[in-house]
Amino acid sequence: MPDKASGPLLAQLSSTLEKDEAQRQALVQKIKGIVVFVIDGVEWTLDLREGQGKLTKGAPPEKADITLTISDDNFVKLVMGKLGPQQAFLMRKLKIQGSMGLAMKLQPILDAAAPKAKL
Amino acid sequence: MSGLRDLVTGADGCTTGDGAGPSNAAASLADALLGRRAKQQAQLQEASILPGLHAPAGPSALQPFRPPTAAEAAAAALQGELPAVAGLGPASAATQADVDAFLRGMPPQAGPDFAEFESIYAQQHQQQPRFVPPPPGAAALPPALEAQGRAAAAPVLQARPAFLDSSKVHAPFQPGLAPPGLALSLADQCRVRDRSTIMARQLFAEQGTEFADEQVGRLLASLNINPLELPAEGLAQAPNFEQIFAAAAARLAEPSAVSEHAAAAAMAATAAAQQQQQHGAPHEAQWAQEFERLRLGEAGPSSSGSWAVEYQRQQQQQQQQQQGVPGTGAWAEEFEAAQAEAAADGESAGWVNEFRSTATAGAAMRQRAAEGDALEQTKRLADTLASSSDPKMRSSKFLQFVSKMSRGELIMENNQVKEVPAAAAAWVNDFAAERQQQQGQGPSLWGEEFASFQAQQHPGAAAGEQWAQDLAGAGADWADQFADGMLGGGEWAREFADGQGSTDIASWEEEYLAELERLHSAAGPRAAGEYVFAESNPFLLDTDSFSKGRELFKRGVLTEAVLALEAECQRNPGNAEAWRLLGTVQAENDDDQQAIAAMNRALAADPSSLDVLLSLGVSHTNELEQGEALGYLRQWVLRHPKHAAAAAAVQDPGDSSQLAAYVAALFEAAARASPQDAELHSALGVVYNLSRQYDEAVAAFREALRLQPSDYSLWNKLGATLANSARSSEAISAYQKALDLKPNYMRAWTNMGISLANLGEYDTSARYYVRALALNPRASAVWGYLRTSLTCAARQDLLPAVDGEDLPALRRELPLE
Repeated sequence: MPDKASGPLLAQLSSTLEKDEAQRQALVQKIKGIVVFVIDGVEWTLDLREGQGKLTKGAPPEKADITLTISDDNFVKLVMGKLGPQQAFLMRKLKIQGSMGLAMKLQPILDAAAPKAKL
Repeated sequence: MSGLRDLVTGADGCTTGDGAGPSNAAASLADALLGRRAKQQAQLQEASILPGLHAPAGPSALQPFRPPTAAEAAAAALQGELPAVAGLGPASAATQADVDAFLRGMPPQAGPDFAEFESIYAQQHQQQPRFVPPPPGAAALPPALEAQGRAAAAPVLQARPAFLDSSKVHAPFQPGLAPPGLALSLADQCRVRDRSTIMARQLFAEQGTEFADEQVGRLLASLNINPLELPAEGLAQAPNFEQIFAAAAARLAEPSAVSEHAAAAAMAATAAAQQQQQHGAPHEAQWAQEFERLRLGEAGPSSSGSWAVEYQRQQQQQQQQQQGVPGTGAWAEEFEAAQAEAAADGESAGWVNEFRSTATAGAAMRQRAAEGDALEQTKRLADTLASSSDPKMRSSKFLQFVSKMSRGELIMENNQVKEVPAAAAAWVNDFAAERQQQQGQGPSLWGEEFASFQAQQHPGAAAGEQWAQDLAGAGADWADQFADGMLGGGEWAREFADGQGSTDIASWEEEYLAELERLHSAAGPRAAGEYVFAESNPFLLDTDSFSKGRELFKRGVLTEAVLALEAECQRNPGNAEAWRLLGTVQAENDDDQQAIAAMNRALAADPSSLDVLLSLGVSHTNELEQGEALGYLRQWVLRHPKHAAAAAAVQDPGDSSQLAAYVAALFEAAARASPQDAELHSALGVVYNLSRQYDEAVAAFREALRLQPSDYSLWNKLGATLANSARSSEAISAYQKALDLKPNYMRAWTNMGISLANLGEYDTSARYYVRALALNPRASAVWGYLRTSLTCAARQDLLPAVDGEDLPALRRELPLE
């Protein structure tokens, strides 16, 4: 089973939340809820409730505030800016369940998952 | 879903063709979702019509640099193509100063050359940890008991390696030997007393000599030595010590050919051994031999150096054999010394014999056993050893004490010897746990012996066998052959071991290597922030690897530079400069974790290095570890002789949440005081990056570049800052500058790929990633980035090549024009 293309992006997001305290707090402040990505059928729980702030594989501890269902390729395109969220949504490449208000606030999450240049 | 319907069917309706516009509800959603990326995308789509954007800096500027392949470069290095580097040349100029310093007993801050020498020396002695006095001004000294332990540890642990002790015999602190009050001769007792006194007075200089002497008194009491019974003058002092040293120094002072060096070494060894027999005073002779080895190892061309070491060992063993003690290689030498000691002590002798027979049995067993059984056999061996332990020895206070020190020693070792710790430490612990206190510091010694054997016998020499034949045949022209770059390998050692009538070493080494491998694969890479060495390293046999590493780094052959420097760091873990350079190369190879690991080792070896602090600040910034980064940067500016004064004027808020602002204020104050310091502006830029003040960071880097326009790493820092503040198109020209200055700057190639991907140039981006991976295929993150760019570029057909890390295929498919 070849690696998922989304792997490094999720890893980037995870380590950002783990290590970058300021970024974690900013994201929690913005989202204040549980975001679940279902990427190629695999659940990833992004827990951004207050006091939390981590990305884990698997189902959320309680009901997700928003669930985004997308393919591996399209997730990568979404993070990398190749595919706009609106475009993806309208083309039914991205399925959204839950709070639409939250859906409008997702860009910082995608930004946090994108590769960073190193000094 | 009503929200969705409202959005899509809002009053405005959907104005097709204007998806990115803000004029309807769905578009507002989209805009919010998309953010600036959508705009970027749109701009790109417009801009991509323009010519030239697909090759942002023009084809000629992006001309790929093709370095020699890894194999070519390694071969070149092995053939000794690289020039010697100043400071490592034959010992002539520095000798007198070195001698003086040496005879004085070596102050700890004697300079890098000395540190190198010292670490080589320690290495030669299978690396018992050097006892490092606490830095002046360090916090409170340890409580009396611990202090006593430290003072006591010095003579015990340093019985062989430390400079203070360099002229002395191995006894009485060899593994498995010298239970309390048993085998300490009068001379040994004098030695313990004298050395402990010297050590203690250095350590406790602040408390005064009385305190130090009291510590020594306690140590001696713990060793059952009554100082009142000892003569005032140490018996161990050798009358002709200085003569020998002077003779050796004189020989070395003349620049001589390799063969002359080797011949001199051989002569010295023989003469020394003869002296040893004649005078019955082995210390100074041995010392001279060791000195010779070191000098040769350090100054001579690589291969002859390592050869000379081996040859010296051989010589010495033969001498020992004449005295009725068989020997096989370094390990055996160590062991035989122990055995000789043990002969005086019936209890240990039994153990020694048991050990030997078990080792032989283990060797036979191993031939039958499948691979992977090594651990079990080792355990069996350990069981046998444990069962032979004498309850008297176990319960003796001295051995418990030494064992405690031995554990402390292991920790210190981990600071000093990085290549072994994962394996050897675990192995040793395993061993130690089963053997209890029986052996004192034995386990660690063994582990180190094996490590050194591993280093010496590393794969790489088919020539070894031929060499061994030549040695057996004539033995006259060996020096020239070695000067030609023949590196002795396992064959030679095995041949030699056979000649000595024992195969213990070979099988032990195999077992150790198997164990090492097992541990490495089990722990996985980078288990705990430790530096991870490459698995096979052709430079391990090369005593000149440090200068070669520097040269390779300068030439931009980073992969080989890493190997050469790793070899140096494995052999001389105390070489702070080698670690620092290794960290720098790893940072340029876009591997900040390895860079941090190496820099931490450099900092441990030389806590005063400002460059290391700065590099750690940068690497931790890249790893998003803000707290660590700020800590190192603050230390840097507060300890910098030039900036400390200005920075010290800034009030510390004492609040950790204000740390970023405080550190920024420190640097700003320093920058006001020294506006012409490029390094300072660069550091300030890093600080601003940490607090995401990207515009200020860009300004700081631009200022640094104004002062130092040829610093490729500054151009990269500028580019990265621009890229991380969503100014990727500007970043590209900065990266291009960096690559113009340093074509093999792997990090800049990677960053270029990231920026191109941010600009939507996924295909070109993938080409840059491939180019970066050609420079450092170990960069796993970049493989991931390549995957994302290929996905976005609709080149999923290449993903199998990525899965297989098939660089040749990828370079064929994705050449940089």
